[in-house]
Amino acid sequence: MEKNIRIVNTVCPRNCYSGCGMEVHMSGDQILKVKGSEANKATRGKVCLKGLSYHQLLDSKERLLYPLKKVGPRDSGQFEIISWMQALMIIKEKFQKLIDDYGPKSLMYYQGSGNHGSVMQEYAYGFWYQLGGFTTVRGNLCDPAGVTAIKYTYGEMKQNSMTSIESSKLILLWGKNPSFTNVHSMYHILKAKKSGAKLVVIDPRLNESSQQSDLHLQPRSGTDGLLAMGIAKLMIQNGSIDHNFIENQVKGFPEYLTYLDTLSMADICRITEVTLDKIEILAAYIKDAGPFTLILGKGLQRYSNGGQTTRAIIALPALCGAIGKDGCGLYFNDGQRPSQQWPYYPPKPEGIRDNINMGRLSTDLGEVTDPPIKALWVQGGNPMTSNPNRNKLKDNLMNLDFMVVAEQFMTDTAQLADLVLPVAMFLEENDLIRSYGHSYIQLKQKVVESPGECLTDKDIFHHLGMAFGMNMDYLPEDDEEILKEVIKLSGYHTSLETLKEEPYLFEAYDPIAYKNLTFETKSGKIELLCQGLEEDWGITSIPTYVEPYESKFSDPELFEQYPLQFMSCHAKGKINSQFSQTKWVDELTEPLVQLHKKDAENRQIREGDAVRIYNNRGEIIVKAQVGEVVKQGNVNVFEGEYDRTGASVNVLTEDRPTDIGYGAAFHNCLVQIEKVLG
Amino acid sequence: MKSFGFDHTMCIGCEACVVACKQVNRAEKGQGLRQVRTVNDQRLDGLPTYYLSFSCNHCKEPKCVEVCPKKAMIKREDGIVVLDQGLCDGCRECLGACPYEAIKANALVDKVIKCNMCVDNLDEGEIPLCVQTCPTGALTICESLEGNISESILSEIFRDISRRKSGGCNDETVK
Repeated sequence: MEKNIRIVNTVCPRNCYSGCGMEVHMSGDQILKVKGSEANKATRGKVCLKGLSYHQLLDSKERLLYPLKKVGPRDSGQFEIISWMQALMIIKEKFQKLIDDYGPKSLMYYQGSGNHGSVMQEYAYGFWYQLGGFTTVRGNLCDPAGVTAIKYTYGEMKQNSMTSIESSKLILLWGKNPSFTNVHSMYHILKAKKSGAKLVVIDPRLNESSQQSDLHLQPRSGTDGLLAMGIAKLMIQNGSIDHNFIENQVKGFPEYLTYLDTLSMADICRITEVTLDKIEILAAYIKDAGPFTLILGKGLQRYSNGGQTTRAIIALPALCGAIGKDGCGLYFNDGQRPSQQWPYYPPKPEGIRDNINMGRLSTDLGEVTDPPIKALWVQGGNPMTSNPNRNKLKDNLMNLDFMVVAEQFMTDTAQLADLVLPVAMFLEENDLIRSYGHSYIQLKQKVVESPGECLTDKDIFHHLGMAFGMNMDYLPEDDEEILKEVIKLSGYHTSLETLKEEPYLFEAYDPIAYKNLTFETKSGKIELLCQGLEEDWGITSIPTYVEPYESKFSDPELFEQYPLQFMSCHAKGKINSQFSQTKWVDELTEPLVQLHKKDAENRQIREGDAVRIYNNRGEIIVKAQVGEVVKQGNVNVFEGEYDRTGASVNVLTEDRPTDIGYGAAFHNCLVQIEKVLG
Repeated sequence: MKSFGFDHTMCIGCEACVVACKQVNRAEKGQGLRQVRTVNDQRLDGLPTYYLSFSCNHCKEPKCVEVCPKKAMIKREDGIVVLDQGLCDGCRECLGACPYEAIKANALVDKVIKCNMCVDNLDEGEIPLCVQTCPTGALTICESLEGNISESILSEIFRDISRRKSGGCNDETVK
């Protein structure tokens, strides 16, 4: 064994439930090994395939090492290396001119989720606030419809510990595929299964977490809310609801019941395309098991009706009293941890515009006036791959006066930039990271120096502020000093030294969420009837079913042209478009479209054929996997592929917002498929 | 006797073990010593998918040891089959003999490579990274397995399939 091995604890900072505690084994400045750290009890020393490939990403030949300036037109893909000083001067000159001509709101700052849960990224506002204003985005591409629905209904968003799943008698994995997106929870789910729990998966796909399931329901895309209403009706019929719990803890049950009575099971089955016998089996499981565990994914709320869908589904645990106890409850995100406080904001200027939805960037970039968006700064994001309606986005990016992208790799977005700034990577910077699958606060530690001239996002804004003549001195130079202040201001009862050894779980953390049955809503109860939603967001105050946009019922003409419902699920080997440069992972996966064998047969498509998937927004070409993974009428291509693969799914998706929360309704998307000839 | 243990009812096909192995062995493309094989990837006939993580089985009666002309393949007393790279002359007899395609031709030098259960670390009490990182505990180091792990798992999977589908299983579903 190698001598003098130094072990550094850190945390994976990706936009992922897991937020794995990690150990990096070092000899001198060489990384020997990256593995899980057992100090994080939620991730138990386990890391997924992506996390295990990090140092290949660090050493990738494709990494950007120097500032780059565009040569020729915006889409030329040609760059020349320049110095940081030149880069800063170009930015200063361009920004100054645009501020003079159009005002600071013509500059847009777009921060993606590439560096997730980071507190250090707040430093950027030291620059933007002092600039006197800018345009930012609201909402995000991920889960705001679901989050908003849960917060209005339950008051807070929290969940039981993962271990609590093991005591379940019945687990509903609804629109969720933890084998790809949260491997740690599968351990607890399968342990429960071994102890006799029933596992039900609800997903138009027979997803990769369903191989042990007892029952699989495959609703038509976007009808999950209506299916939940059908389940509720049968639960009421077969006596699985907890009248006592409803009486004391739920507001609006009679009103919801009145609405449910207007729906017939025949219509529910016809619209959701789930047969009555299957819903009856599920209702019988619920009657047998009593309070059950509901693990809710995020795809189902990326529809135009995503908020209402979530509301209808999360009503189910409330109806049977599955809240505040071990072995049951609602899992979506764990929001129990206290938030991170950033001590170094300068005074916030008046001129901040924040009414552009992240999920509608493609359209809004071109439509916003007074002033129009003239320049864009993208950091920790790759909208050309990850945002919906990318062809429209490209048109609008082409019309910008100036575009800066801070990146690690030449992404599809960076390709279009006037300036590309090389940024540091995980293992090259210090930070404090929160996650949403568990409540630990973890320290991300710098273990190696960045190669070439890469800088952290924080340092980039520091230098830029100096170049603009701003006062950037209020921030300590030393990262440790900054993080100590963050810990103090956030009220974390831990120290930086302790965090170097183990993550922090705050004292009031409760492995049983809502144990005291107190809910931070207006009424103090779980609000099936919630006036706030009607007032703030204009949706009905009880969960109702609204047919999603772009579906066979809401747009029959479009459906005739494009009769397949397009899904773009998360891939195993990627976090959105991240990890596209890791060969160890890349060789395990290839872009493909999953389609049902009958849909394939009708189009003379066979396994392995190249097929064109298209609609009125664009087309992609990808290899066919024919089988029964997806429901007939649905197709799935895993998201996150760069343009170079030809399978960049967001060519096809529309940039429509969700009903509440400013989310992105990616999955309202109809397509047609044909075999590529020749 | 040491071997890998594997519980296919706990394997979720996440391939963390595959990349853990590549990290330890700094594997070149196509040279991974551990793979996840998928049975019924396409979910045909409503049957489930099964995942099988396998590397060298450290067989009870290893064919590679039998055929190696240089005696470079050694079955240790504790059951682990190791390759002495110094003795290997790259004749690749073992590649053909191994029923599990667990031995690879080394892309860098004219020799073969195979999983040696990270034996140097194991001797010092550290279990292999593929086992350490398995999120569900499907993959283990097993002290008392009878026969070869891949065979016993495969036969279990086929029993399961025939239980679910009368008339047995068709070979096309095995990929």
